[in-house]
Order: sequence, then C-alpha cells, then structure tokens
Amino acid sequence: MAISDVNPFEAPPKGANMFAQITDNVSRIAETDKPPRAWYIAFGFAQILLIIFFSSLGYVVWNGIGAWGNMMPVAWGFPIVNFVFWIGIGHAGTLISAVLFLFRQNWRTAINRFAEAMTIFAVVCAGIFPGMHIGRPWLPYYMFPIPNQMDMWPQFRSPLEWDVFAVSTYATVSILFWYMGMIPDFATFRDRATTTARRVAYGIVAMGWRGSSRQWHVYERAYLILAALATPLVLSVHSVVSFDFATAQLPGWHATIFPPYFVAGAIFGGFAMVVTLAVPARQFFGLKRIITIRHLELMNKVIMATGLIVGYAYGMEFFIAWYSGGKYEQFTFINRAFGPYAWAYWTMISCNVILPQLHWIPKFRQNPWCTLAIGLVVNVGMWFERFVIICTSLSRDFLPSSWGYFVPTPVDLATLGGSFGLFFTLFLLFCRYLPMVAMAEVKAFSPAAHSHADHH
Amino acid sequence: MNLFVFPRWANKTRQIAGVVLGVAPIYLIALIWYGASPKTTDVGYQPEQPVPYSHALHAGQLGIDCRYCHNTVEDAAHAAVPPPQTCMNCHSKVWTKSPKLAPIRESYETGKAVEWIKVHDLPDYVYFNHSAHVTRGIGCVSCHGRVDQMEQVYQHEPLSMGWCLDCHRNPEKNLRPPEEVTNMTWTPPGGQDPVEFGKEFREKNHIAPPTDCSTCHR
Amino acid sequence: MSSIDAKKRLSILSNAPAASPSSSAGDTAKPTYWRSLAELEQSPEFLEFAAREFAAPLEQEPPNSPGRRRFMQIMGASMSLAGLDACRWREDKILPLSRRPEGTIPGTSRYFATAMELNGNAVGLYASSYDGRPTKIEGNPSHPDSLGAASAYHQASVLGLYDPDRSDSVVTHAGGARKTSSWAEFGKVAGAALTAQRAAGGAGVRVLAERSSSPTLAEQKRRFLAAFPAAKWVTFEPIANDGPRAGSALAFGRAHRTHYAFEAAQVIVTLDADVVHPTFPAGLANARVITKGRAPEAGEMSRVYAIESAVTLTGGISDHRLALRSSAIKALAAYLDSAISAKASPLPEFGAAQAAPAAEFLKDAKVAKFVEALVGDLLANVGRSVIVPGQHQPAEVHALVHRLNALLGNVGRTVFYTEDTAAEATSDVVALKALTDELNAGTVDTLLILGGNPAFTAPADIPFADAIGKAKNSIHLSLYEDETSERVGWHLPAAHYLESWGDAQAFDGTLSIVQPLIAPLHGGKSSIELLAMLLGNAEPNALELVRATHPDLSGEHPWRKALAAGIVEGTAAARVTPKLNPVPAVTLGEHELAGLGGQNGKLELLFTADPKIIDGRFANNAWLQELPESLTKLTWDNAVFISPRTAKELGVNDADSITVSVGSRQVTLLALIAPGHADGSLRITLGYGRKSAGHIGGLVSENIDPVGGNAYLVRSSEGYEIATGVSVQSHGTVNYRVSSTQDIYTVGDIGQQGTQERLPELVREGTLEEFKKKPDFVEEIVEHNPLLSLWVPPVSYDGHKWGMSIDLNKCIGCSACVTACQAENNIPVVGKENVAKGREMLWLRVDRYYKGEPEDAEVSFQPIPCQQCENAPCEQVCPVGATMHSHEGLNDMVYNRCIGTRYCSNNCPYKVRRFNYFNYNLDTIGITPYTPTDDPKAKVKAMVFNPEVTVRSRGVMEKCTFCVQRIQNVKIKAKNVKRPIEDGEIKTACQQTCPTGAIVFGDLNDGKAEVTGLHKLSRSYALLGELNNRPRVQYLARIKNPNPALTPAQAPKTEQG
Repeated sequence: MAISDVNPFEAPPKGANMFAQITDNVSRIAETDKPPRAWYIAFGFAQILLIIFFSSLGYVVWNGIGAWGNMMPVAWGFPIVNFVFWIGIGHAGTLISAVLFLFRQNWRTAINRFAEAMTIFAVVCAGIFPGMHIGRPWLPYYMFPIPNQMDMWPQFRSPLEWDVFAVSTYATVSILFWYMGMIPDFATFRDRATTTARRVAYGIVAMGWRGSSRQWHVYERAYLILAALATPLVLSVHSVVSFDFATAQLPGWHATIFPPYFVAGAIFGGFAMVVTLAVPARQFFGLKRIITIRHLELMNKVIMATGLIVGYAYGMEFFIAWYSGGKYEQFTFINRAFGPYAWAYWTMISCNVILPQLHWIPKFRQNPWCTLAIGLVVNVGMWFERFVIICTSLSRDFLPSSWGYFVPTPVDLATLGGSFGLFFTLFLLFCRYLPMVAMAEVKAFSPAAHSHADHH
Repeated sequence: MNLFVFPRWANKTRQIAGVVLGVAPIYLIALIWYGASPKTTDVGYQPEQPVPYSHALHAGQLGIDCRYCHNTVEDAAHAAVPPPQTCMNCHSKVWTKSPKLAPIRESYETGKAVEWIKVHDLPDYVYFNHSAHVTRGIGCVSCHGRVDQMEQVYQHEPLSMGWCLDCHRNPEKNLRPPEEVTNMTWTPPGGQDPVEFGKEFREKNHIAPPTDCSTCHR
Repeated sequence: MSSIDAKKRLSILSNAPAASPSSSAGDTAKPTYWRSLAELEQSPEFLEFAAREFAAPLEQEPPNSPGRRRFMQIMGASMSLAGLDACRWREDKILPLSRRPEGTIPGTSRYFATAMELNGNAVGLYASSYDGRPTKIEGNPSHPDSLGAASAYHQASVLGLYDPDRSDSVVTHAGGARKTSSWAEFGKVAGAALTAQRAAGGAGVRVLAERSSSPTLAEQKRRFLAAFPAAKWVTFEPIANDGPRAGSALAFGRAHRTHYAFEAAQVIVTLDADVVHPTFPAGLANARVITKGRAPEAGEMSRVYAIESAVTLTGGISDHRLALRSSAIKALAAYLDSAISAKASPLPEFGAAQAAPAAEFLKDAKVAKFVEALVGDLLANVGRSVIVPGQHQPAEVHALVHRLNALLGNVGRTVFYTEDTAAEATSDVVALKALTDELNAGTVDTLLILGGNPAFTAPADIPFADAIGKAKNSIHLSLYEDETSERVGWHLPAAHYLESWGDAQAFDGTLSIVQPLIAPLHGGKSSIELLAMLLGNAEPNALELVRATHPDLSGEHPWRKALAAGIVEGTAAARVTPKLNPVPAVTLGEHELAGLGGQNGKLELLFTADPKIIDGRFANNAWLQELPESLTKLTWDNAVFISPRTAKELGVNDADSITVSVGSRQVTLLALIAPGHADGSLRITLGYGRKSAGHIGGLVSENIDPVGGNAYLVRSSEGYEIATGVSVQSHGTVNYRVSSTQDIYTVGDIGQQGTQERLPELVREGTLEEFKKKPDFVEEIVEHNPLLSLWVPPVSYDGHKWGMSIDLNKCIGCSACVTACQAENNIPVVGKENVAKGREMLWLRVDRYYKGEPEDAEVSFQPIPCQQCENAPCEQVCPVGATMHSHEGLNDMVYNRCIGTRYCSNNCPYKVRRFNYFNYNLDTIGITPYTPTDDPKAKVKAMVFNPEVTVRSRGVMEKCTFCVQRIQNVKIKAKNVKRPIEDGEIKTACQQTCPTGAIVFGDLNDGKAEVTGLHKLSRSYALLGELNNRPRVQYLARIKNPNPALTPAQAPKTEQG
C-alpha cells in the first residue's frame, strides 16, 4: 500500500482539550499538503465531467439547441429538468442553516457548513441552465430590467421573470450566509497558518476577525438577522419555480398543489444530497467524531418525513385529476402512469416513495452506507420527478395531432452528467481549502462548552 | 510568528472599499448609458458619397422641393432615391461637363447604377413606411433634420426604437399640415405653440399612431 | 443597449433578403440579399450569370414589345450590381435605376397573369413581381380551371424557379465525357445533323415531347413536320390518362373530353376518381363547385358517393364511401349499367345493356346494400346526378360511365362534352414502345426529347433509357440535368414557365398567354424557342412566335387585354353532344370478379401520380418534399398504402419495410397502414427514388440518397395503371425513420382512447337532419362552466378586430394553404431528420383524424393556424414580451425580441408555435452578419424570399401572424387616402389559395364582413373554447348528408386519430 493511501485524517486529532481537538480535526484537512488518494481520484473524475459539461454547452451554443432532444411539443427537455433538479438540491442548505438555526436544532452545526456550500454550488449549476437553454444564449439580459434604447421592459407577468429574481435573491443570501458563517473559522485558519501566503489569503477573507466578545456579539446578531431573512426564501424559491408549471394551462402542470409539493420535494432531494456528500466526507476526512451517526439518522428521518409528503402529493395529483372531471387532466395522469413514459414514472415512484421506507428500520438508517445508498436513490428519483412532470405532460397535451415523444440526444446526457462535474469540482475544492465544518458553532454546542457553562 | 501580517493602513480598506463600491456602479451605468446609446453611436453618421451632391445647394439655395427627386415618398414605403434620369433633366443643360457629375452621366448612359451609400439605415426587421408618415403630416425635418443645410447628408436623429416610440406616443410636437411636410422651416400659423397646434390637428384628423409590435415588426 | 447590438441582432436574426419594404431591387439595397448578388459579382460564376441572365435577352428584345420585360432586365441588372462589402457594421448601398420605367414604384409588388401547364392542362395564375423578382404565386379568379385557387405545386413552382440545382449550361456527352458547351456550339451540330436529314425528309428524326396544349408549340410542331415530313412526333406522359381518351373514343367513335357541372348535381358518384384533387382535370374548379353545393345553411346539400380503393380527398368529403379494389370498378360499372338499364328503359340506339356480372364482391352484404342504395338514389335523381370515372380506369369503364350518364339523363345537364382534337391515336405507352424499337433497330438518327424525363419514367419493360444511346444524335431539353440528360448527347437547359413566353389551354380549351416575369436565370430556352431554332431561326424569340400564332390578338389592345386578364375570352372549346355508340359487353377477368380482399399473390397494385411531386418532376422541390401528404402526413418519402385487414393477413406492420413483387419485378418500400384503404389493394405514388434529381430529391453521384422508392421499377406496360397478381413480402421493422408530422395510425391504446374521447369535441360533426332539427347542436357537444375572467380584457378592440373562420365542411385537406403560407412567410425547410424529430416549421398544419373502424374509417381534416386568442396563454408567459397583444387582437410575434425560452409553445393548447432549433436559413443568410455566405447558388436561392417578412434565424419562436404584412400594407394604403378597408381587400395567403374558400378572414367589427356572418352561424364553434382563451379563429362544424337508406349501417361513432 502506497504511503498516500494511509488516510492522514484517521489519526486522533491533536490537542489538550476538546476545543483544540475539534479545531485540529477540521483545520488539518485544509492544512495538509497531501489529501487522501480518494480526493485526487474524485477530483480527477470531476474534472473529466467538467470538461464534458463545458464542451457540450459549447457545442450547443455553436450549433443551436437543436443539438439537444428538445422538439415540439416537448420544447422543454433536459435543460429545464436539470435546472429544477439542481435548484431543488440547493434547498437543504438554507433550510439547515436558517430554519434549523431558528428552531435551535443544535445538531445542525455539524453539517450546516457543507450543506450551505452544497446549496451554493447547486445553485451555480442550476443558474447555468436557464441561461443556456434559451434559443439565443447571447441575449439573456433581455430578462433583466435594464433601461435601454428600445424602451422595453421584461414582461413581469411571466413566471420565468419571477424565477430571475427568486433565484438571484436566493443565491445572494445563501452566499452571504455561508461566508458570514466561515469568518471565525477563516480567522482560525489564519492564526494556525504556517506560511505567509496562507496567512495573507485567509487573513483577507477573515476580514480582521479577532474573536473579541464585541465582534461575537455583532456576529451572532447579524447571523440571526440573516437567518430570519433566509427562512422565507426556503419556501419562496421553489414555490416560484413551481409557478413555472402551476400557472401554465397545460394538463399536468396546472395545479395549485405544486408550491408545497415542490418545496417538500426540494428539501427531500436536498437532504438526500447532504447525506450523499456527508457519508464519504466524514469517511475520508476523519470527521466521524463530528458528524456522528446521530446526525445521519436525524437527516434520514427528515428524508423519510419529506418523502412521505412527496408521496402524498403524487397520490393527491391523481385524486385531483379524477375529482376535477377534466377530460384532459384525467388523461394526462393515466398517460403518465401507463403511457409511453410509464417507465420514468415508476422509476420515480420506487425511488422517492418505496425505497426510502427502508429507513423505518433503525439498523438501516443508522448505517452510513445504507444512508448513502438511499441518498443516491432519492437523488435519481427526484431528477425523474422533474422529468416526468415536464416531459410526459408536454408530450401529450390537448390536440392529439400535436402529440410527440421526446428522446434525449447524447448531448443531453453529456450536459446532465457534466453538470455534476461542475458541482463536484467546486465541492471538492471546498473540502480541500475551506473549513468544512463550522468549528466555532460545533464548539459552542460541544459537551465541553456545556460542562463549563455553570462556571460562567 | 507575527500575527499581524497586515500593516496598519489595512484598517482603512473598509472605508476605501465602501467608497469604491459606492461610486463604481454609478460611473459604469452612466458610461454605458451614454456611451452605448444610439445618440452617441449613430447620430452624425456621414458617409462619403460617390457623387458630391449638395442638398444645401439644391434643396436649400435652389429650393427644389424634396418630392421632385424623392417622388415616391407619398405613396410608397420607400422614398425612392432618384434615377440619374432625374438629375439629367437639368444637368443635360447645366454643368453638362462637370467632372463631379461624371458618375451620373456614366450611369445614365450605361445603365449601371450609381452606388449611393445609405445614411438612414434601419434594421432589417423594422418596416418603416414613408407614405404613412408623410400623409399624416410628419415633416421630413422631424426625422432627417435640416437637410437643406447639409452639404453632405448625415444622420441627425438616433432612429432608435425608443425615439420612434416617443413620437408614436405623443406625436403632437411633430405634426403639421400634410402640404407643409417638406417645408424645413414651418412654424404653426400665428405663432401658435406647435404642441397646441399638434393637439388640435391630431383631434381633427384622428391621428392615432399605433404602438403595437406589428406596427413595425413582421 | 446600443444600436450596434441592435444591428447585430437584426442581422443574426433577419439577414433578410430585402426584409424591408425599403429594400427594393431597383432602389435601396438592403443587406445580405442585395449585397449577396453583389458578391456574386466578384465571382466568375456571376459574370457569366449576369451576362446570360440580363444581357442576352436584352438583345433579343424587340423594340415594340411591352416595356415591362426590359424594365425587369434593367431592374435585374441594377439589383445584381448592388452593394459591396461592409466597413461599418454593414454598409448598405442604394442603387437607383438609371431610368425608372413609368408607373413603377420601387419596393412594391405587382401582379402579372400567367399560366402553368401540367400534363396538357394549364391553370391560370397570378405571379407577384417584387422589383422584377417573382416571389409568390396566386390563382387567377377569371381562369376556369383555377377560379382564384392554386395548388401546392403551383405555389412551390416559384421555389423551383430559383432552385440552385437547375441546369445552367448546355452540356454535351459527345465523345463520352461530360463537358459544358454553348447554344452556339449546339446550334452548329444540330443544324448539321438536321440538314443531313432533310434529304430523307427527316426519316431518321424522332421527337419525344411531353403532352402540351400550347397552340404555338403545335404550330412549331406543324412546321417541323412540314420541314421533315418523314419524321415522327411521339407524346409521352407517365401519368398518361389514356382511359378517358380511349374510353370516349370507344363510346363516341372520337375522343372527347368530359366536363362536369357539379353545381347542377344532387348525387355525385366517383368511381376511383379524385375529382377535387388538383391533378384531376379542372380539379381545383371541381373542388370549389362541389363544396359550394354542400352548404347546410342552403337547406339542401348534394350527396357524394365515393367508390375507391385508396382514400382520396373526394373520399374524404364524401357522405358515403365504399372501399373497393380499383380492378373491381369495371365489374361494378357493368353492374350499375345492367341495374339502371333495367329500370331506366334506355333508348334503342344505346344498344344492349351489360349483363349483371357474377362478381364475388357484389355478393358481400355491405357492398350489395351500398350499391342498392346508390342505384336507388341515382334513379331518384335522374338528370341531377353525375358519375365520374377515375383517370387510371380502363377505357371500358369510361365507356360504360358515358353510357350511364346518358341513361340517367345527365348529359347536357350535369355532363358536357368537348372534342379532344389533340388526342393521339395510340396510347403513350404504345407510342414509346414503337420509338424504343426503332431506336434499337438503329433507324433513328436524331432523337429530340422536349422536356420530361422518359429515361426515369418509362415503363419497366420498355428499355428506353438504354435505347437512347442508339440514336446518332440525342438531344434533351429540361430544367435539370436528370436521368435522361445523362444518357443523351446534348443536354439543353430549359426555361422555367416564369422565364419565357408561351401559351397554354385550360381543360376546356380556354387560352392563356404564359407571361414571363424574369429573364431566363440560366439562359434556358423553351420548347418553342428550341424548335424554332432547329427550324433555322438563329435567334428565336418566343414572344414573336406566340404573337404570330394568335393573329386575332395582333392588335396592342386585345393583346394587352389577354395579358391582363390571363385568359382570352370565348376560346373555350364548343360543347358538343356526341352520339353514343353501343358499348360492347366488357370482358371481366378473375381479378375484376374476385371477392373483397385478396390473398398474397392475388393483390392489386395501383400506381398514381404523387399528390406533391406528380411523376417525379418536382422531386427537387423542398417545399413539396416537406409538405405533409394529406392522409398519412408523410414527408420526404413515399410508401405502399395497405389496408389494416390486408396488412394483418400479410403479417405486415405499420412502417414495415416490404418488398412488392409484380411478376419478376420487385421494389422494396416502406409500408403504411392506411385506414379506409380497400382490402386486397396496394397503392404506390410515382416519382420517388430519383437518383439524379438534385441535392433535395437525391443525387447519387454526390452520395445524396434518393428520396423514397422508385415505383416505376415495377410498373410495366401491362398492368400500367393497375397491376394485378401482386405479392408482398415483409422484412419487419428496419432501422428507418418515418418522418410524418402526425402520429401514424396507432398511438397506443391509451392514446387511442384519449383521442377517441376528445375527437367529437375537436372536430364537431353532424348530419343534415340533425342540423335542421337543431341548428346549434355544436354548442351542446362540450359542457363547461361559465367562462369568467379575473379582469376585464386589457384591450378594447374598437379599431379593427381581425378574425378568421374555417369551414370544416369545405376543407378537403389538399394542403395548398400550407405551401402558400410557406411561400408567403419565408418558412424554412428543416429536412427529413428534423421532421422526424417533430421540428417542422410549417405555421399552418392540416390535422387529419380517422373516425370509425379502421377497415372503413372516415377521414376528417382540420386546418390549425395560430388561433390568435384574445386571452392568449402564450402572451402571459413570455419573460421578455416577445409575443404581445395588438389593439386589433393579433398575437404579435416579435422575432427580434424573442430569446427563445419556448415557454409560449409549452403554454399553447394548439401547439401552433414553431421554433428554429437550428439556423435553417444558414446557407442563405449565414451564421452572423460578419460571415455572409459566398455561395452564388445560395444567393440565387435567396431570391425567393418575401421581402415583406423578416427571415428568421436560429433560436427564435415563430408562428402564424394572420399575414400581418398584408394587413399592414392594405391599412396604410387605405389610410393614406382616408378610405375604409373593404371586406375581402385583405386576404391571408392560405385563404387566397384555398380551392374551396374554406378559409375566410376579415374584420369582426365590420357587421357586413363575410367572416362576421360566418362567426354568427349556428354551427360556428371555438376550438377548445372551454379554456377561455377566446380564439379569434372559429370553425364551422362539418355537416354530412347521408342517404337514409344507409345511415343505420354507418360505423358506430368511435373515433380514431
């Protein structure tokens, strides 16, 4: 076994007391000059996907979006499916950071940092698609309210226009939130830095954090305010995204249930992604002490809960279709479950509704690898949920004469796979160079902190 | 190792950053707003023409009516640039030898067109119709400026969509009796305020310039 | 945003050939297009091109000829010299004519009457000239065979004019290798050859010509045969229609043409005849007249019985349709004769009636019932009925039908005859056979082929193609270098009908002058000119020749009158009532008498002209190739039509690849299951599978596969129209993409069921009785809650309020409107692959639905343009406001604002929006304004663009605009002189070309407008109106007039799509 195979992070963290150990446990990841081979393998793989991603997008921009499988009537194919999928992923972060914070769910501290990171990277991936999927990708600025010689404004009645604001707001707040949280940890890195370069780099991003109680006071206040601001966004973003469909006239889209259903789905998918990332992370970077089985189990419970909500929504859609008495609505759902796209529909059902039920078994949900498996399954399921909603509804709408069947092209698959390349590249860099766990917060809720509480 | 790698003045960075971030956007917006507007980029476009034809002389000093040459302006979308034939009506008698007129004579004889360079050049997807404007009482001067004072024609107005819409929304200031459209110096009779005159004129003639997309785009 | 951006966008978007009214050939040069021709200028091709195109004809121009042509040439010359390369973003040039002809206003369209001839029948047309450039074809209302309508292939002929694949030079294969030559060179050689022949009186000279009605050509023929008395003149058309000629000869002793007065007919019976199809003599006119007689509001409707093998357009509009093998029609006609003679007591000179044939199929209960009811209806309407036999039916059938019409007292009332003086004694096939034998015998010295493509279209058992080489000199005049041109010594480029003077006659003999709109683009000559040239006229001038042929038009006034009207009054042939000879007892073979259906080896195969590319002559026309075929909606392909039951019996599945064997000959093709097709019958359309058509239709020499399969390979001189004893072998599904624009019959059970449920609401139908009982029955087909809006409509339509009405009772599904729309609105062609992907761009589509059991399905058509909803779903969802509502209720689509989110299409319940997934105009407009194309051929192609409409580039959505360019131009014209717009002054392209007048457009605020009245009709309904989109297009429900005796037998009301 080569030297580099020995995971440098397995060793117990140095340090006299728990605080020191936590600090060391997290910091050494960023400070080591030799991450485990797994990191290199993963990073290399991500790079390949990233190259595929950008070359496929380049190909599309040069030749026109006909390179994708989009057609009439299915004018929205993979790109929008991917967009909604990534936006969905980008939900857990804010939820964990803001909502759980407001509810004083202290266990969040172990995972909120890279949940937030994941959020931002997911939003980055998502953000690319609306811009790239349009027919003339060099003109997306028409969607922004910029004064111009044409005296033209965007059309504010369009849900796509709402998306522009919802997503950009969400991205901004998430980034602020993420960065805010990292400041004290940057300071720690700065102070532990052994080279001037690191000290300067981390010093700049630490913005002169000294950890004085006054700074802490202001920091906590600001963090609380940001959390309060971010919380409604958790609901708003995906509600607005769901309006893209809910406000349309198309059978299978035109449904009032969409906002809650989408938000639940988003949290469902988001948490699934968090566990998908958390399990390997704690494995390779020796964070088992910080991200404990308890954390995983709690997340699995959230997945189970939201999964049930999503399952309920699937059922309710059918009920409403039947109850509405609308001929076209009814057909759409029968067609969805038994028509040409039945395979996609049943993939979705089994991934999102059936398999997660395994988490009822304590042994199962307490096992990291089972957790990882379900996490992956749910991610697949959530992607198919968007595919089913978009493609099956569009492929057979009102006039039978205009019915069609959407078939993705290799470019479609390259774009989808490639987007993961972007996501993982960013995430792996984050793991390597930024504080993966919110040290300060973890300390605040570590037993050590409380054992001394009464002496204060 | 010294904790304080940053010099004292680094504390100023916040204020400096504040100022920069505050001012930069405003400056940029102003720059683009002015620099990229057709007012800046298009107005004043004055290409060199193959024949040094002077509107100042013909339309100005000699007072030839615009429609003598641009004779289709009242019944076609396009105000036709005259065939050399039209020039020769006079120039077969005056300045018959002038070297400046050589291209005209050549074209007249060979049938090979004179290649005038288009000054007022709208995008291909814009369908402007001269007759619709001239017969409603929009003067030439409103869009082309004082051509009667131009030695060589240049673009006087931005001809941007916003500029078009501005007049389509309130045309009063540019309205005049149709028989006066070619009059470069027309003012309302009895020193009436142009806008006032325009209002009345618009009422009288039910002039309602549409602002639908399909008015100009097909 | 800067207007430089604007310019970029514009040109990326609309590098429109003259995409603005101000861009006129003679005058302003608008980008690309005019510059394009200018860039031609730099290329050597162009120098020839310009020389040929403009100089040569000028010299030929006689001083006294109408000034217009000269104007066009100068105009052309100046336009061709337009513009130079850009230095700013794009510098435009203005190129005034040196002399502007009287009354011409640069940048405006003018219409000129002309005529297009096909298979000896001419249809009068108007061609628009935009600064000397023909861009659009319309029907000529005063022409008897058009009545204002034009068919898809008339519309597409303008694309053919600018086809870059057209032959542009004289080519000789003398000495083996192909090399380009010149007319002068050819003149020498041909002159020598013919002078050598003069001695022998031209015994070695043979002329093979297409069928033509041109008096001038006839005159040239006369002179030619006078000069070469021993020469022979052979006429050959693959779509021969010998039946009518031979049949009338059989019945009357001399060949006659039959004309039908459908307006006077109460009962219309077609025996395998598609009387409303444009390829049927006077088909366009028939369509108008027949559908006119079927307006339920009049209280009385004619009743149409269609007995046919393949579902035809006539079958589509029929009240009763009997699917029967084409080969069984003869026996049926014989039976009708016997049955009707028995009751109608014929005059003695009519001779004996046919004996009732012992035909198996007549024993079938359904058939018997049908025929019985038919006979009853015919006898009940003596003198008010008409029976029409199919063109491809044998002589006996035609003879019998002449007798039947006489028996029923229809002659002189609904059936009229004119003498067919032009008819040849022998059938085309026999004549061609004789010629081929002579060639092989080596007795032919000089073979002159005027048009046509006999090497490709000759019957499989006549080795004409190989025989051509046997002639010492072989000459072929044609638009393209085709399969025949490759085999001749000399290929000569022909002039397009829009390029040369000529004359032609309608089916009833009415004379039209064929007027050119542009000088020959490629220096081609017409047959007339070529013959004159061969007769020693070095510089023949078609105009002089035509004028010489018509002395009664010699005066300037009558001549101009003829040109303006497009017809010469009173030139229709005199109607005669020929004496009917007794029709001998018809011989009926096994196939004629067999029962319904037919097992493998005993099948019949029907060869018909393709509705789009006819006999293959239009194979290189992309508009026609991409036009969905009326029934199957198949594009870029032909197929073997086969009935569902027969398919099952033969183990053939839809879209299988099958091999059809006729005797020893075989062809492998795509099989399509056609509901309603007769059992035991197959149908193939001719003209596909061409190897030297061009870059569209197939060019094997450049590895461009032929489009479709060649049916001529199995079409031999026996069984020429209907082959019998045919067998089929299926190869199962092969890896082959069927590019049809509507799902082929089966869409899965769930899809089927869903379609069945909704069809009655989409295409609303009723019978005359129902309609009389309850005129507003359409209202009750869909119940829905009251339609409420949250807010009052933002626009009050106080000015104009444009609306459209489409009468499903009139629509015959011919799809002429689709091509008209394509021509008017610069709609790109996307090609087979993209059509298969569902990316066709046609703004107007004609939906086809099958109803009833597959075995005898009824078909109904529904044209779907943009419905211009007042409450438009598309408008709400566009994030950039690229589709907005106008104050006249149009959904304006702004290409230059569209960024292509495609959300509007998703939200459109009618899916009428089309998206440019690629830059389908790449070859003509380039990818950016900075990378213009330099291909001169592409620039010739660009000449077809309509300058009034923006040419779209990739990434933008587009859709029907109600031809807003036509609306605007009329509005401005009217406003300039402060007059109101009259009803019918604005016609949309689809409306203008529609043979039946099914589409009516107008101002709904005008109480007297036709469209307002139609919208008020009780059978007018809004498609998917329950969605509260308030569409401005309304459909008139289809009303049928079934025979009470047959109604119970009608198929249960289950629909299939």
